[in-house]
Amino acid sequence: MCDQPNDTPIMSGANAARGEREGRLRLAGWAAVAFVLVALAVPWFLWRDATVVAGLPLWVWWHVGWMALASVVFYVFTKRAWGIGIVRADAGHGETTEADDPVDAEEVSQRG
Amino acid sequence: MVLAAAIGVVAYRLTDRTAEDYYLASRTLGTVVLLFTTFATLLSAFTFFGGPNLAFSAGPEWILVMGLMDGIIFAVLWYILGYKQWLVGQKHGYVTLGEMLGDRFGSRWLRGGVAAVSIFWLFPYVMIQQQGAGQAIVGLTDGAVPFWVGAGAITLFMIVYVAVSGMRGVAWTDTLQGLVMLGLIWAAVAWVLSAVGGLSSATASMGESNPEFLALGGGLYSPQYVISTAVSIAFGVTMFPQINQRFFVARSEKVLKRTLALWPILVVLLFVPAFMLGAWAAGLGVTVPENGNVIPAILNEYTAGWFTAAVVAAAMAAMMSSSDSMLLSGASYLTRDIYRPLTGASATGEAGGREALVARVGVVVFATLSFVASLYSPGTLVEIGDTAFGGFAQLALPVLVALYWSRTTRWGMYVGLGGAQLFYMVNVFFVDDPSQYYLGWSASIVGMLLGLLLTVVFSLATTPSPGEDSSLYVVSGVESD
Repeated sequence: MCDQPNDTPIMSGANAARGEREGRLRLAGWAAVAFVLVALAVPWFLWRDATVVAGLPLWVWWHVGWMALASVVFYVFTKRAWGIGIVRADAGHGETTEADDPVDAEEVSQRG
Repeated sequence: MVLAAAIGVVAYRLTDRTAEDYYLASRTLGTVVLLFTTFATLLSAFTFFGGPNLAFSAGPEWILVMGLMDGIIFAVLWYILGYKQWLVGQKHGYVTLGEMLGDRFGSRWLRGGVAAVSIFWLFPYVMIQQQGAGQAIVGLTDGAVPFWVGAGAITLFMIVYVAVSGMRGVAWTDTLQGLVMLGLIWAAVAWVLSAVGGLSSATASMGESNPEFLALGGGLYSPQYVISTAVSIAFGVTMFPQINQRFFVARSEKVLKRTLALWPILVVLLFVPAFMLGAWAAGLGVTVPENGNVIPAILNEYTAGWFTAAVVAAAMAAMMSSSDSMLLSGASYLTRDIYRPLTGASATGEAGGREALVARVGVVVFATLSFVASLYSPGTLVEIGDTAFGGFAQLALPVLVALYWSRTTRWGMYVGLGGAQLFYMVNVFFVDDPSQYYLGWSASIVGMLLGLLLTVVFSLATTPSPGEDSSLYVVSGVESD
């Protein structure tokens, strides 16, 4: 069924349990980050505000800044947490697909 | 457009004519190409003409709706749905959503049904490209050239192009057109602003004529509308055949990652200038001819005629390639998920030839019908597009549940997908302004939640049928522990 080579489990026993707990915490953290990114892309606290700054409504500037921030956050996510919640946490990052993309191997070293 | 055609021919020469190559360019798209081809797919009449029109009539808040939807929610789904689908697709060689679901749940009905529903909602979206092209020509020539000529010309181009080149051609033209479009829209903003005395003065006159435009919210833009529209379109976009197929085509994870990080930037670079132009036009007293678009109108007023023509030509070229992607994906749904399972044909030899014929005939029939419909279509570009996205959005949550929850059953999927579609269609076709019954929330959002609930409840209430294989979507690589 699975035509990818199976990696040997790296952690076992108590280590694995702790790793799983940490993995869940990290997942929850990133989920919270995603939620905040979504929630504040529209500056609800400026609702009905008509202040104009440098030729554009303030809420447009907020949005522009927020999208730039989102881009940075997404970049950090791809560097540090890619694979979380999809590829099992105790398997490290994206190990199923390393064969396709050797460049990504460097990221495994960031685990732990 | 001539350049676009040339790229198509080159891509045709490079194509080795297998189905996977025709539809997916053999899963080898790199970062820039994947980024822009996905981007260009969104860069359609809906964004390019519909968005500014809405900003012109209701205010620039559409920037926020589209930014939230495209730059953030879609990007998050890009990971949650897209990366997962990419992994599953790599593992089992799937090319369409229907294939992926049909295999997992052992159901030809599910496979064909998802394809049929997708093709159904694709129809209005292809139609608005033709409508947008027709309107652009009307706006450009001030009504001298009739609507049907523009709409008809783009239909013809679409058919010829898609029949010749397949995905690789489409992807490369998308890239070129994405870049050209971005450049032109910024040039347009610079030109218009310098003609009217700068950014501040353009915004100031907009504030004088339409004070509502400066204040966030109000009028059309209620919080429910903003959230409903952004969420529904974002989920809809992921289930859009040509976007969903992009989830299968990235060459590597690296490509998916880079694309994710660049996405919000690209979105802001396009939407802010495009929609602000529409909103400024309201303050500048630009008049839009009936059945026309605001972008050509404002450019006609403040820039040179050749520039307006160039922008409209580029937009039409972009719309053409978006439509091509749609038609190509629609064709691949038709042949792989409906024709092939029905006839039991395989993709090789003589049967393969017949299949290619089915795909091409399908494209011609589909494009012609949507062209005819565009001549009589009711509603604005944004309204029709929103309806189509809502239809696709009904697919998203059950698919998400299936991808991540191994307890999902075939009946859960049948009822969840079917129930949501039924609910949404009844609201779209038989209810006048459905949101008044749902406290201002759109029928699409209510339908999505209903679909989620039905999928989960019916999965819990039923047991897996023979032929289901819940192990197919596991991608950890450490199943053995």
